[in-house]
Amino acid sequence: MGTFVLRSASMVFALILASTSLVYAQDQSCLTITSLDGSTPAVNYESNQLKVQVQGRFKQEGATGEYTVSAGNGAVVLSRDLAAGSTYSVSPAGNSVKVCVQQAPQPAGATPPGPGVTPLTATPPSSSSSAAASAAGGATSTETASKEAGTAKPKSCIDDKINCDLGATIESLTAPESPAFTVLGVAPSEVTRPTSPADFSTFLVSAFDEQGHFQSGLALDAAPFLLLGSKQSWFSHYGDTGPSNRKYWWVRPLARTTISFGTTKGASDSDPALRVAMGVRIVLYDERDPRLLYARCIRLVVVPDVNATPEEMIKRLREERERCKQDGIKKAQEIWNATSLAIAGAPTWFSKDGSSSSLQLNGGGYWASGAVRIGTTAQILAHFRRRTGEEVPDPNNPTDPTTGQPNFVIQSSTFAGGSLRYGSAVFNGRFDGLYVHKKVAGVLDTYPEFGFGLERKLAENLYLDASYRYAPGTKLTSSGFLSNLKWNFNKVPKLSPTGK
Amino acid sequence: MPFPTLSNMQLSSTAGLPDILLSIRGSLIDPTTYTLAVSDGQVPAGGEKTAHYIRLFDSPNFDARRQVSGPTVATVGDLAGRVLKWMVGLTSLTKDDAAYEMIVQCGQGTLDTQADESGNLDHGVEFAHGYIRVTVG
Repeated sequence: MGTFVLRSASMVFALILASTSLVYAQDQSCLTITSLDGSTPAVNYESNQLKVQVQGRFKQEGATGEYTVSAGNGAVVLSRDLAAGSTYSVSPAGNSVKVCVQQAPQPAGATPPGPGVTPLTATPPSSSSSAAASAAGGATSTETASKEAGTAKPKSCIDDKINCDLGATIESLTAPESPAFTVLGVAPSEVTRPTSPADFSTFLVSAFDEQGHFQSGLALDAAPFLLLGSKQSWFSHYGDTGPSNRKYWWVRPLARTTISFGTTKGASDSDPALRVAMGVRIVLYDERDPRLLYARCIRLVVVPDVNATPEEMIKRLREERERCKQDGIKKAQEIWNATSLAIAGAPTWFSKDGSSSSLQLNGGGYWASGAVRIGTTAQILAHFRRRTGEEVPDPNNPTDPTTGQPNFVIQSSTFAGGSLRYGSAVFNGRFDGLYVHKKVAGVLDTYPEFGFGLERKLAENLYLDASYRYAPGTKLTSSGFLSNLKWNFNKVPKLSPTGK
Repeated sequence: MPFPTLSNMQLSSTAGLPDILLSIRGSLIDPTTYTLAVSDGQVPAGGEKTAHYIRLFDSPNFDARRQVSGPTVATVGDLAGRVLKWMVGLTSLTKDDAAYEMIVQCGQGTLDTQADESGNLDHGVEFAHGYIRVTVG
């Protein structure tokens, strides 16, 4: 057994050596992108183009000259074309990702790059290439390209007004769960979620260093009123209805108020600058709130026999508790078009020297998201988002020509969007509208976007859909309308709001 | 399990029917409807648990005063020597040992606290109940 293991290991080692020598025998170039804000760089491959996307500040090393730097989706995108027969590998590690490319040799008179890209190893990435190749997993692994690796994140109409996904853009305006992390542009891997006042105190103590300055890399997400109000009588009114609810209407919004807090450090290891964000999210109403659905169910439970023994009553209560749990889960799943209203806000502060005493207000983000249910078949959605002091890649000069480092400019923006969605067994449809008002480096840009999609089930596994999107600059005449009208036959519904 | 409780209440024969008010404290507690019943006749001291009770009413409204009245209780004199039984189920969707406090008040005009108990749910549920012995003078 021991000999077998040793031999197997030797063979694997020999194979690795062989493949390594093969890799380096060709012209391989590597690029390493390290996020300085704790976000995870994402890599995807589409249409012979390899892209590395990173949110916020980052450090780049290696073959930077081989990539074109641009702004996209509120992030910096480094992209390069890959010739047919080229291979690439992706090695994520923490907040960095290393991408190595072996360009296939191009003989004189070769045809332009074709669609084929040979993987480095035999393991193809999953269809969600961005997630599969992101550094989020933490463990170092080698991912490879394949023709299927072309499922890039849909383009936002906020960054690209012409070629974009309007529906996805409107949905991206939803009030975020943790607004502080959103305005900082980070997705922290470790978030403190206190479950008791003691946990909260521990976090506060650990938030500062010996000089009283905020530590960097802090991330807190908490529901303070649920945490601190365990002895408050008003909490038992969470599921109230009728006259009692008119008196205690504020209980549910208060219980569902969450705060988020985060800090990030400067652009480089030697930069002491600190960014701090404090976010609040309040759910004013949520028809799919599982606790509300449960409370409304359990409140209807009546003592059936006032002379029953306590043991009998407890047994019945246990059964009713389970029934109401299952009912709540079922109802929450069934209501695809729930009525809801949530607001969120997160101001940010910036300290050049990293000290808490020199923190200055530096913009922020504010959201409002609402939905109204119309029967069982339709829903109206409305979103509003305002961001100020946001650092975005310079659309005109994405990189500094002398240093090669990315250029950032300040953006203030206001977006308002809405949708009307309809879904039934045979017909689905949606109408979307978006208004963009943004000022990038002092230059104002405002434009509307709107579109619609209609889908009809023709037979089992056969759907016909038609969609139109007005892009700024196109004509609103019949010829302009027809040129932007697209239609398709599909085996599965593409516009169903339930995804079924 | 802190319940059942037993308390006494002295009512005035000239002040009208009493009110009852139930309160629950607990951040993760979801109470069921509360129920008030009355013994179907006078009950000797110590016989509360073996008496037969008749439902007066069910109410989903906690922290709200409600008059103790029903088919067999029309005047305060009807309560003389009888026992009121209150019942409420306490549950938690998420926490099996959630802490709670039950406060029951009853009286004419100003409500006296008749029960004030705290405890923890047992496997996500608790059946809180108690008896209030009434004398009318």
